[in-house]
Amino acid sequence: MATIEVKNVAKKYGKKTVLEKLSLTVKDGECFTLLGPSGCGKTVLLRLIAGFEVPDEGTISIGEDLVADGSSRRIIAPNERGLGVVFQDYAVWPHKNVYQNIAYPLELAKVPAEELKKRVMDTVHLVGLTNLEKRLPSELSGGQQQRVALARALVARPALLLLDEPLCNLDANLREEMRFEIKMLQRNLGVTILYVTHDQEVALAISDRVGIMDEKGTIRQIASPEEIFEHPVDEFVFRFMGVTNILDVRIEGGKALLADGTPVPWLKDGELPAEGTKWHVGFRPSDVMLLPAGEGVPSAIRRASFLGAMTEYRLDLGGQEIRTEVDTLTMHMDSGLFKEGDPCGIGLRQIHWFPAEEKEDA
Amino acid sequence: MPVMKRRSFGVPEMLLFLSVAILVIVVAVPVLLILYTSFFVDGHFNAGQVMSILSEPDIYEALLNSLFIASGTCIMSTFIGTLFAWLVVRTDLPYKGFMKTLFLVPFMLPSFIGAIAWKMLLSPRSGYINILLMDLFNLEEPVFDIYGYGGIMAIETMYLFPFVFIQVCGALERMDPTLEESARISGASLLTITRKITLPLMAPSIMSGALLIVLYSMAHFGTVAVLGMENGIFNIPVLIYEKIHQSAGSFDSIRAGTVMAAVLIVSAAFIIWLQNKVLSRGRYQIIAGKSFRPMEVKLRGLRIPLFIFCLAYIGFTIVLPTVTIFLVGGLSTYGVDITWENLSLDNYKFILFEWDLTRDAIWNSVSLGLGAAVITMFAGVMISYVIVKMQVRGKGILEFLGMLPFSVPGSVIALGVILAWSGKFGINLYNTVWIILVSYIARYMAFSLKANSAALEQVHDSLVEAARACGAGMGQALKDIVLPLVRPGMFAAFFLIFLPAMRELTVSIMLYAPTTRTIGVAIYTLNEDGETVLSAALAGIALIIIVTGQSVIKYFQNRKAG
Repeated sequence: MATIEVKNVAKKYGKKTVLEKLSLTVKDGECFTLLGPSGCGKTVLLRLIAGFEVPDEGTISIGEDLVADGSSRRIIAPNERGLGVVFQDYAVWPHKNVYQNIAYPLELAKVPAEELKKRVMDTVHLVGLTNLEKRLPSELSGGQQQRVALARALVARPALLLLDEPLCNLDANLREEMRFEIKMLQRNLGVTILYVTHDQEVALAISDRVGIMDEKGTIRQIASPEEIFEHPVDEFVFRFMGVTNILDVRIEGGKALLADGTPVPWLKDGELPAEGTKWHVGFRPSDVMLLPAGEGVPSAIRRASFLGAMTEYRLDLGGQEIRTEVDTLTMHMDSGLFKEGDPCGIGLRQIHWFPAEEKEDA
Repeated sequence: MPVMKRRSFGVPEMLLFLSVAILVIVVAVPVLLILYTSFFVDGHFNAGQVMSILSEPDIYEALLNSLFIASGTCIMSTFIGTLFAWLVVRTDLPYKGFMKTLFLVPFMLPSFIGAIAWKMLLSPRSGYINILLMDLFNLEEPVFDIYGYGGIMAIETMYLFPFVFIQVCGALERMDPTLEESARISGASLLTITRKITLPLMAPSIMSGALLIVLYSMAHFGTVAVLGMENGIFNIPVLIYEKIHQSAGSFDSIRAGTVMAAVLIVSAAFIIWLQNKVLSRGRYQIIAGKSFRPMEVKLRGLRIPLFIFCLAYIGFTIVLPTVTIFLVGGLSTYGVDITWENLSLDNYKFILFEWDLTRDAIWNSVSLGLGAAVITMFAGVMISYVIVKMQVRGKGILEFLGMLPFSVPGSVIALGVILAWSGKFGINLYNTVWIILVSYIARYMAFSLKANSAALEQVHDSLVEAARACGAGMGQALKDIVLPLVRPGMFAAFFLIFLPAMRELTVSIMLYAPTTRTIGVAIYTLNEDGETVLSAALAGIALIIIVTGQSVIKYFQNRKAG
């Protein structure tokens, strides 16, 4: 059993409060991603769970064990928590070769020589480092060092794996490959994974559940990746999930108006938010349908950037700029590409309403 | 279920306490005792008495001499150091890399041995060069007189200029070449660029090297002691030595000594403060931390003459005195012509195998060097570890104490150690070998802290945390991860202490007893007693030990790099 139970945890460094009354549960066997901007305290939370820091307040339990108690400042040492940790900077020991790095946890656990060798080699194969066992870390690429770190964290078969931005230093291809492998490992070995990152793509790709954290260390939403993508609870979460368009809207006389007074025409089911307050309407570039002039809401192309398979347009909508991306090939076949200055029309597939005052947080 | 532990208790606090205790006992107490003894009379603060001591004629003269010699040495070293650094880094001088190594050789040669060698070459009555010139040109009067301010400054310059050289080399190598290139594009000539761009940018590094030289020269004992006696020239460290040596423990001379030591402490602190200020102000964008390929100045017609000049300088300042030492060490009596018939290995044999005095000296130096190196190395690792790696309350005190060893000159340490370990606190080590050991530890702690901190900075915290997460306890993680990684730093610290300790003079000369001479003391006293050839032979042996040690370090460093 490796559930993680974080209750009302607070952590300060000097006068700076990093975490305040934070609670979180990671279920046994799930892959939970903590997603937030850099400096939001997500690494601190991971270090608290690993036992490298002591909480000022609150408690942390792993499985049945209470591992840290802020009120008594007592903790169970990191080496007695039975974890695997992969660090952002790999932390592969430079004086040990690949084999020695991976074997170290088993040596500490006094695993018999025969079994140790077998398990190390199994893990070496698992992460695809076969034939590199004798190499020193300095002779490995970043991606290979990453795998050593992962193998080292896995070899002792911990019930809980803590990963701190383990993919952020890899190139795009390797990153994709590794995140797939991490997901496979988790399914095959049944470990609980707590993954900390600022990269929403990785989070969406591998997580069973995602927690979105803001700069102040508050968790805004915890849900499945699909839920978060489709139903963000607030503008911060929405903005954090990729490029977005946000428009200022005011409600007047049962109508939603853009800044220059153009009514927002695409409201389908009439669920108009409260009158009198300012609102934001949010939608993703992919929710924008670019139509020939005369259809939808009239607009014009401010800028067009050809990106290859996709073409990015900046459009004028009621005096505000919005972005969209369209498939170049489809456009060619449908209506031809737009040039800068061309008139066009806009339709929207989906929109989200957010109260306007939240903007400062985001 | 594993036991929950309180994290706020235990090991970190203990290590901090130990580290502070070591630095307080070894460095802080001696320094404080000096300041206390010099400013307090019968328990009362008395600045008037300090002033009257400072205005005593001999002390006043020593102060002036220290300042004068330090200024002269500083100006000459700065000029030579900057010139050679520029030649080696920024011009197309032949064999630049090799020349750079050669210019650093004086670092490892003890300057008082150099002074003895130059005395043999340039003393007015019997210096070999003087005699040679007088014979050649039928002169009545000797051409050179080494026994003056000029001689002292010249010899100190030969051995101290690498401090400027190394600083300026480093800065020139790290300087962003685009700064010069853009001046060039704007139409400035190379000379203008050097004068208007390069030199001003280098100024902080040059200044900082120059300040170091003032610091070392003011506190320098050997050269002045060897060359100044003849004409009655002495500086602060020499006068401290004489006061203590001749006082037989009289309190007045000890007080006079402490007042002068206090002057050294204050000026050292001031110089270090000034140096930090200069360096921090100078850290503008020139130092990018990356290696550039700076543009080279073509020397054209001057290339070969300058090359020959550099070679001549090296030959004259390094090779000539070294050869002289070995040759004179082979003579039966000082003064006879250097011919094959007059040369033998008898002196070397006598010193190494027959004479108790020199054998004891070598044994003392080797054992003191080893002892000090081992103790200081381990203490340095611990203190650096607390400073660099640990989060523990009260670390600020330790950081301050850790700075102290860097700024306390040797004669100050010796005097402070005498005050602290002569029974004042119930332990009397005076006239034993232990008092020298204690003072070596204080003197070389700075080297150990520097080398070990540098090594520890390289060991990222996550390496230890990774080991903890793998199941290692703190002690286990230190043993398996930190120790193997800082071993090169410890190794460096060991040799950085052992080698200088082998030739130490300033501290040992104030603390030695008849049975506790060190190599440095033996060379110096033999030379003073007129046993020139034996002194030279012992100096030769010291040089062999030092050069061998340096080669061992170089070998290991290269192996590590390659």
